[in-house]
Amino acid sequence: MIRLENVVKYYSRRGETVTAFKCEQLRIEPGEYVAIVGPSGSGKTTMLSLLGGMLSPSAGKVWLDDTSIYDLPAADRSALRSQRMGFVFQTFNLVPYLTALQNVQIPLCLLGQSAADQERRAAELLGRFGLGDRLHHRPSELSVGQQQRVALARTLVNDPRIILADEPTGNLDPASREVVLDAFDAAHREGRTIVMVTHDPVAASRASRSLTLREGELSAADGEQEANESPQRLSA
Amino acid sequence: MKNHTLLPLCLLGTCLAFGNIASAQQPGGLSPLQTTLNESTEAGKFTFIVFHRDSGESTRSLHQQAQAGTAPHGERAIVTTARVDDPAERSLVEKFGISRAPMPMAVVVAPNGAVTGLFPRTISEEQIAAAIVPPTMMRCMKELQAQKLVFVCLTRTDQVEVPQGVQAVQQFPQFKDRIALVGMRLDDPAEARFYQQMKLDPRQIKGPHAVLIAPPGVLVGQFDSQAAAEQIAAAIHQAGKCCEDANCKHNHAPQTTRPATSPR
Amino acid sequence: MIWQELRSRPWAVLSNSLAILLGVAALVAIRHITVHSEQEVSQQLAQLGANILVLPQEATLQDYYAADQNGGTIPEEHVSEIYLAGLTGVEQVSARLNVPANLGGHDVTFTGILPQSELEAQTSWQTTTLFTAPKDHEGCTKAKLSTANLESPESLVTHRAIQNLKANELVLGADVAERAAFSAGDTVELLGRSFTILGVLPATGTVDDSRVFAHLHTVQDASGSGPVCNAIEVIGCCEDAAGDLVPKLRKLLPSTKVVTISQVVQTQVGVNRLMANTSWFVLVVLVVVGGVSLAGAIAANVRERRREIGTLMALGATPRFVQRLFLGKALILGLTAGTLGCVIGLVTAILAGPSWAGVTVFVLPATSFIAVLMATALAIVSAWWPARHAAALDPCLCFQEV
Repeated sequence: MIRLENVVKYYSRRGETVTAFKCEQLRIEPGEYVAIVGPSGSGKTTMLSLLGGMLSPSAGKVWLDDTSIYDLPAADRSALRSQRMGFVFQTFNLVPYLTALQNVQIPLCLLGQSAADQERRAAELLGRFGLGDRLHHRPSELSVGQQQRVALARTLVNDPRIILADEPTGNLDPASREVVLDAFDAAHREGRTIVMVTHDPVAASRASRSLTLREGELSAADGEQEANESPQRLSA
Repeated sequence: MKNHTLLPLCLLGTCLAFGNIASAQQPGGLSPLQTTLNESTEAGKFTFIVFHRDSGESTRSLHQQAQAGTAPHGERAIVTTARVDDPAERSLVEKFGISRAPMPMAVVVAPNGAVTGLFPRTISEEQIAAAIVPPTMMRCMKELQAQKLVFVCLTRTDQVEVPQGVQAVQQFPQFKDRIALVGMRLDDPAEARFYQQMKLDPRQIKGPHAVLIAPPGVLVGQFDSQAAAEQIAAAIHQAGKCCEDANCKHNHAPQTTRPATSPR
Repeated sequence: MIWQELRSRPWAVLSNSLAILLGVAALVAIRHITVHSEQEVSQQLAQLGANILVLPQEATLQDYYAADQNGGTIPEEHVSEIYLAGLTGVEQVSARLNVPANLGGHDVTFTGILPQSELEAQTSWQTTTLFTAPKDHEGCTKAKLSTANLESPESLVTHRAIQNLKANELVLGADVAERAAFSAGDTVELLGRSFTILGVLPATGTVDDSRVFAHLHTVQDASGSGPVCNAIEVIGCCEDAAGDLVPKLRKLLPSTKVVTISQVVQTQVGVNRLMANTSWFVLVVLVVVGGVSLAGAIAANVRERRREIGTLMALGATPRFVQRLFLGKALILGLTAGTLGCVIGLVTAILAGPSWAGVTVFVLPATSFIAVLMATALAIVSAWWPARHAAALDPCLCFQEV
């Protein structure tokens, strides 16, 4: 379970303080598929970073089950991410000088698995995504859709319980978008928690819950309304 | 070749010229110069030989200096001349090693055949006097020039007492054929110059006493009856060292130098 | 990851480490040549430190062993004058005369030397001076108790003199014998005369390898040069004595040039000193330029890989992992540049040593190892700050839009 308690993130720019994100209370249950929608600059990336243990809040706590993740040292937070989280990026963020196989091996390498195990697991996953014949291609030798599938494989290779996705369908054509959303559906069915930031209504409609973010604030009305209507969805 | 004593200078050149013409070997196979040396040996005289290549001014000058310088020494010295390129005198020239020496050169030969002086181009009265050496010095120089180790055994009588250690060292295999014994009377005034040079005080010497001189004329040490043979042998070896310089190659174990390896 | 990244941009690798590579190459080359040149000078000074050369006034001197090939002549009677002067510390005097000749179709240097047997009478002249003018001769008076073995032809190499050499005998240098295919006992024709080869010298690596040695007077007669020589080598018993001999010889033979091995190697000593100082300069340049260059390259690499770094952190890479990524890259760059630079420097030194400094250069393992180690350490130190900066980057960079 992911829980936010009075989380605020400020940025100071040229003497001005900007509130990038503010949330009094948010609970995301295990296995939930949540879409965070909002316009550009609304703080979606900030929220994702806070949830992923990559951005310390100015105030408040972020809980992952019973662990306040920002009370952990940076190295432990990194370990947490490698063991329990997977990320999907808008621009895929594949390492350009590594092959598809090597890109997918990265999380396993960071977990300390043996090279043989890494290669076997990565090849298996890429095969499931239909890229069995592209293992040794570099990203520049793959189509956009193929790159996204490599990125998805990399996200899933370490069997994460939580998937954080930043505009996963932003750069894709409709066919590729469906592939990604189908993959998320499959992951959801496997019981993984998915938090997807998107401004794509089609993608958002696949989530079981939608939250709106405006000017850094989760829409209180949406949150409360959701809580009133389905209490167990907001509070775990 | 004739002996010259006090001939006028104007006749000198003529004599030299005639000397060239008359430089044939004497009967009996000896060269004229060798004959002169033999006569000097019999007479106990020092021979001052003016070697020359030509009869020029420098030759005449050296001859004149030799004549004038030997005059005070009376019957003890004679002056003669020889051409260094005279075939008849070749063996003597080679023996003295002067075939390529600067000419003219005066070579002083003692009655016993030792070379006691070599003077290129000029000779002074002091040099002449120094070349007429005392008897023991003459005998030592002869032996030293034959590369012998010379023990000068000092005595006040006609009997020469050789210290025990010296007698024993003579039997050492490495020295057996290389040692010469020369006796010297401490009470002979003629030897005063020699024992002054050897820094000897005759009054201090009692009993058998020997002074060791090594080629070419290095004073090695003095040994009395108490000196053991090993001590004398050690002194001889020590004399082979050049100096106290630690970098001196003679102070290291004897070995040949390595060939140089610098590239061309 | 490091290796893959390096392989993907080989030109960048080369340019990043070029300064270090060139610096190491220059440093290794200079150090090798300097060390070997210094060793050569030391060896010459050790072997020839007590040697003095008497040369014609106009002679110039670059190489001790070719000192007698100066074209000028001095009278042979200077040898006698040296002995006659009764100078203390003179152990051996050796005169040489060179004329060009042809042996068996090969051009050779026909070198006349005076065998020591012909100087024995002159060495005994010292007796006269020691006895008749004892006060004039203080200092080194070594007794001649044994003679070095000058009998064999090889003594020309070891002692730069030979005891006996007949008028019709030759000793060949190693190269001459090999080229002309002659050996000891052969009879040869040279300058219209017949000679018997007494022996062949071992190779010395000096000009002596291309010489044919004969009796000085034979060479004088055959060439019609008269009683002259090109050089007279005076060997003192030790360097102290040799030092005292020089002014005395200059006074005795004012029409000649008297030089010691120290003077001959002076130029080389100066060059060695210059090279030693230059190597320090190169080291400083290497550290500053190479280090700054690499630091800049790594920093630029960090900047262009910010998104990648953010992504890796998002995937679970610790700051330490990121730092090691860049330090590891620097390690490989430094090691590779250092090793390649070392190899280039060694090859340069080995090829150029003989022509630049007249020395044969061999690999100095310690110097080479230290150069590589230094390059590697420099690379790591240079990359330290950029790597730390990379480790401190905000992982949120992974979410930045392109």
